[in-house]
Amino acid sequence: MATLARRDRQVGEETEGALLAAALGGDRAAAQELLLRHQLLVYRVCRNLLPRDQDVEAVVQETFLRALKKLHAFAGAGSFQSWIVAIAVNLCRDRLRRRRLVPFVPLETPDEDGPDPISRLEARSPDPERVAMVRQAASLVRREVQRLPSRQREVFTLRFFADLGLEDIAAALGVDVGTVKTHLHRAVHRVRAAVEEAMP
Amino acid sequence: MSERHLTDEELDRWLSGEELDQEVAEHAATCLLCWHRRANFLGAVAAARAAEPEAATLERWRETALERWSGGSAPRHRWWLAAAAVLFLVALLPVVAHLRAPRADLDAETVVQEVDTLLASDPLTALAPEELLETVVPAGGNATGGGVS
Ligand SMILES: [Zn+2]
Repeated sequence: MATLARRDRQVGEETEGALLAAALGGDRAAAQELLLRHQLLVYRVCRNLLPRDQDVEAVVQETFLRALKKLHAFAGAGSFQSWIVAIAVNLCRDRLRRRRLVPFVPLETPDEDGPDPISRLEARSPDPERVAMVRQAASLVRREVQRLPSRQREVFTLRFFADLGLEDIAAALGVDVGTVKTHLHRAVHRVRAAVEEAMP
Repeated sequence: MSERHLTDEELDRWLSGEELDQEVAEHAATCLLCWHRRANFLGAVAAARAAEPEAATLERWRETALERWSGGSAPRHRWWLAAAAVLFLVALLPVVAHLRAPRADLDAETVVQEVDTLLASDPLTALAPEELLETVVPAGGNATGGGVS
């Protein structure tokens, strides 16, 4: 079983390696497939780190473009996923610095996007009281995430809004796993306290 | 199984995706109260996530990036480059024509004759002023007697 899993992973790595090699050679289809595989992750990172919609669009596109233009610099060091997330996080930092914005997770999700998580919850849950409680807790989560120090906010976002594992977060931010754990503990502690205030 | 509920610290580690000590993990796996705390946190965080994008939105952004990367706009650039090159050449035409035209005020035959005449009379004065020659090679002096002082 373990052997099979390892073989599957190797095939996966080879496939991505082949895509990378082809894209490096200018193959548009390979580059498109690479972006297709990682676009949602890049979007989640940018959408949850940047407050303005127009910044999200610009930074996601810039992340795609920079990843393709700098493919030669990647050269298989670590995972492509961590690498493209690192580009996205750096561009988000630049954008926030340039705009001198206080980053936050937007209180209201934009209409033009798909159904937001609360709407999905409303559609599923028959209990309006529960929905209201979750809505309030979600609002507190956003507020607390907004107030976190920048590195804690990035780690929290990558873990809970982009679903990355601790090692992937460490690779993307260029720090060791111990540092990620420290930041994440502090962030989770604050956010959990806010949630338990709203949902005892 | 431990009857003790998870401390805040242990709960934070659990929520952060870290492994718990075996005894703590066994309690967490079966205790409704600890599960409830975890579920509340994860539910609120999931609800706080930004909405997912429409597939068409991501496709548009991806294609824009690919277009810029693969030089989709390159033919347009080349067209402008070609136009600029043509304009430059057209602007250069009068200059080239001017350079290639024979100089009417210079008669090559006459010039050659003048040079020949000069060289025939005194090859050195034909190439340098007389004062300079007087300094370097004084008239009637010993040409091998020394260098320039
Ligand atoms: Zn318990």
